[in-house]
Amino acid sequence: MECQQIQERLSAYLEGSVSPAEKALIEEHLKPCQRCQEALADLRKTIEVVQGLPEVEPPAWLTQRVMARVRSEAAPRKTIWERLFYPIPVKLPLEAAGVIAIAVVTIYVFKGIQPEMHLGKAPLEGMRGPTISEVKRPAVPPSSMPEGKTQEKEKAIWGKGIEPKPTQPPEQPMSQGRKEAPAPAPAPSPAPALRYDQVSPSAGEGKRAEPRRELLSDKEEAGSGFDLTKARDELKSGARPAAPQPEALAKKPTGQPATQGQQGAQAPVPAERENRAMSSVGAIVKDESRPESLSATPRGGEAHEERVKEKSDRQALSAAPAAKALAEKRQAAIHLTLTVKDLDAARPEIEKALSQLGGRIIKMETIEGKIVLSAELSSNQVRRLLDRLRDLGELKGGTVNSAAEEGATEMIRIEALRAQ
Amino acid sequence: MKKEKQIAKDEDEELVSLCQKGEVDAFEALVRRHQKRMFNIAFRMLGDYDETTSLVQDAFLSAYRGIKGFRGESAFSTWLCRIAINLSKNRLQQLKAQLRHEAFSLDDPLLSDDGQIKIDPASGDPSALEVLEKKDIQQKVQGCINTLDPEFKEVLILRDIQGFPYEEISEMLRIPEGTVKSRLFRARASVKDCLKKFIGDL
Repeated sequence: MECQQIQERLSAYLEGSVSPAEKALIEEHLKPCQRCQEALADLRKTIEVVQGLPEVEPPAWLTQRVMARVRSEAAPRKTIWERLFYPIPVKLPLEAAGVIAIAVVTIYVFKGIQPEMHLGKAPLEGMRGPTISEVKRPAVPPSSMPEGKTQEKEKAIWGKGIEPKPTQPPEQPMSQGRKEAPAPAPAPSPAPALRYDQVSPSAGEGKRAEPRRELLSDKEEAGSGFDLTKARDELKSGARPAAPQPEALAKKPTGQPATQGQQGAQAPVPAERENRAMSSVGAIVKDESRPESLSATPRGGEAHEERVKEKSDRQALSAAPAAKALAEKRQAAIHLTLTVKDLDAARPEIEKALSQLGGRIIKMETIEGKIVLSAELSSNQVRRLLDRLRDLGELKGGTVNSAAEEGATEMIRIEALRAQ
Repeated sequence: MKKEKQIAKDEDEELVSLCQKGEVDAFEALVRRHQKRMFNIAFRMLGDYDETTSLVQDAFLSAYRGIKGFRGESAFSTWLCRIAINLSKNRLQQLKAQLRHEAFSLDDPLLSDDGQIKIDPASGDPSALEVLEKKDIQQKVQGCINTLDPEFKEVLILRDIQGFPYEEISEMLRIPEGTVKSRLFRARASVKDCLKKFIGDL
C-alpha cells in the first residue's frame, strides 16, 4: 500500500472502524514508514486539539432575549377578545367610546322626553270666545268624555309624582262653570298669570295693535283663530289622532259663553300644565292683537282677573318651573299655517328662510304628513319671513304682534300642510 | 450515561408537548436546557461570537414557530441542532457572498479571497509553537475549522467537538453514516494539514 492510501485510512484506523485485515496491513506499513508514523501522530494531535476546544459560554441574557422575541411572537396570536381587553393600549379607547355612547344616548332620550316643554302653542282662552264663534261651523256639543279619558291617560303618562293635583282641576271649574258663565278657567299653570299681569294693564298696547289688525281681513282672522284652536289641540293630544279633534274643539264654544266653552275644553286636561303654560301665552298674545275682543266681551276680562287669582294660587303647586321660565321668556307667539304642494321640498326652504333672517329653530317635527316647526325670530324680521313663506305656498295666519317691543324675540310656529 | 440521556429526552418530550399546547414557559425551559449546546455548535460553525448570538436567537425563534409541527420522530435535541446547523450554513453562505463583494476586510484576516487561509508570517517560525499560548492554538484550530467547507465542518463539529454518535449525526444531517465517516476523516485531514501549515510541527 502506498503511503497516500495508508494516510487516508489512518483516521478510520484510529477510530477502530477498520477490518482486522486492514488493521494488520496498516500496522505493517507504519513500522518502517517514518512519514506515515508522523502523519498518524499529527492526526492524533489534531483530533486531540479539536476535541480539546473549550466550550463557549453563551451570554447570560441570551435566554431572556430569546424569550422576549418568542413572547412578542406569541402575543398577536391572542384572540380578538383578549386583545380588546388587553390592559391599557386598547382598552382605554374602548372605554372612552362606551362613555361617549352612553352620553349620547342619554341626551337623545332626554330630548325625546322634553319637547312638550319647549313649545308654546296658543290655546283659546276665554277672550277668544267670540272669535271662535266667528268660525262658521255647525255647533256640536263638547265631547267631554273622550277628553276625560285622555286626561286619565295623560296623567298616567306624566306620572303621579309630577302632578300635584290631578283630580281637582276638572271638578272644581266644571261646577263653577255651570253656576256662572265667566267662572275662572282652570288653566292651572302660573305662567299665563304672569303673562297676563304683564299684558293686561296695558290697554294702550291693545290700541296700538289696532291699526295693524285692520290690515288683516276677517277671513284671515277666522283662519288664524281656527288654526290656533287646532294647534292647541294638537299639542294637547300629542300622539292622538289629530284630525277630528281640532274640529270638535273649535265647535265647542259656539253658542256658549266663552269661558264656559273654554272650560269645557280645558278642564279635563289639567295634567298638561307645561303645555298649557305656553298655550296660554299664545292666547294672551292673541288678545293683545285683538283689542276688539276685549271690549266686546268685558266679562271675558273679568274672567281673566279671576283666573289670574286662581292661577296665582296654583303657582306654588306648579311642577314645571322650566315651563314657567319659558313662558316668561317668550315675548309672543305667531302661528302660521302654510299649505304647500311638496312638503319635503318646502321644509328646507322654510329652514333656509328662517336661518337667513337670523331665526333659530327650536323644534321641528313631522306628524302625519305635516311639519310643525317652532322657531324664535327677531320681531322686526317677522314680516319678511311671512313674505318668504307666501312665496312657498298659501299662507294663513300671521297676525303680527306689533305691540311687541322692537328687537324682541318672537315665538313663531309654522305648520306646513300638504295641499289637498 | 445512557440512562441520563434517556431521562433528558423524556423531559424534553414533556416540555415540548406543553409548548405545543401553548405554554410559553415550557419553551423557556427548553431554551435554558439547550442553549449552551446550540451556542457552541453555532459558534464553531460561524467562528464569530456576535454572529452566533444573533443566530442562536433566530434558531430558537424558528424552533418555536415550528414546534407545533414537531412530531417527535427524532429527539428534540437532534431536531434543534439541525435547525442551528442549517441556519449556520445559510448564514455562512451569506457571509461568503458579502466577502466576495467587499474588496478587503480588515475584520476577517483569516480568509483570503479564494477561501484559503492567509499565512501568518510569524507562524513560519518553528520555535513559535513553544511560545504560543494554549489560547493561540485554540484560535488557530478555530481558524482551520473556519476554512473547511460547511459539509465537512458540520461533521467535525458534531463528532469531534460535540461528541454525537454517528447514528445521530446521520439522522441530524440526513446523510448515511458512511458519508458522515468519510467526510469526518477528510475534515480531520484538512485540519491537520492546515494546522501543520499554520504552526509547523504539531
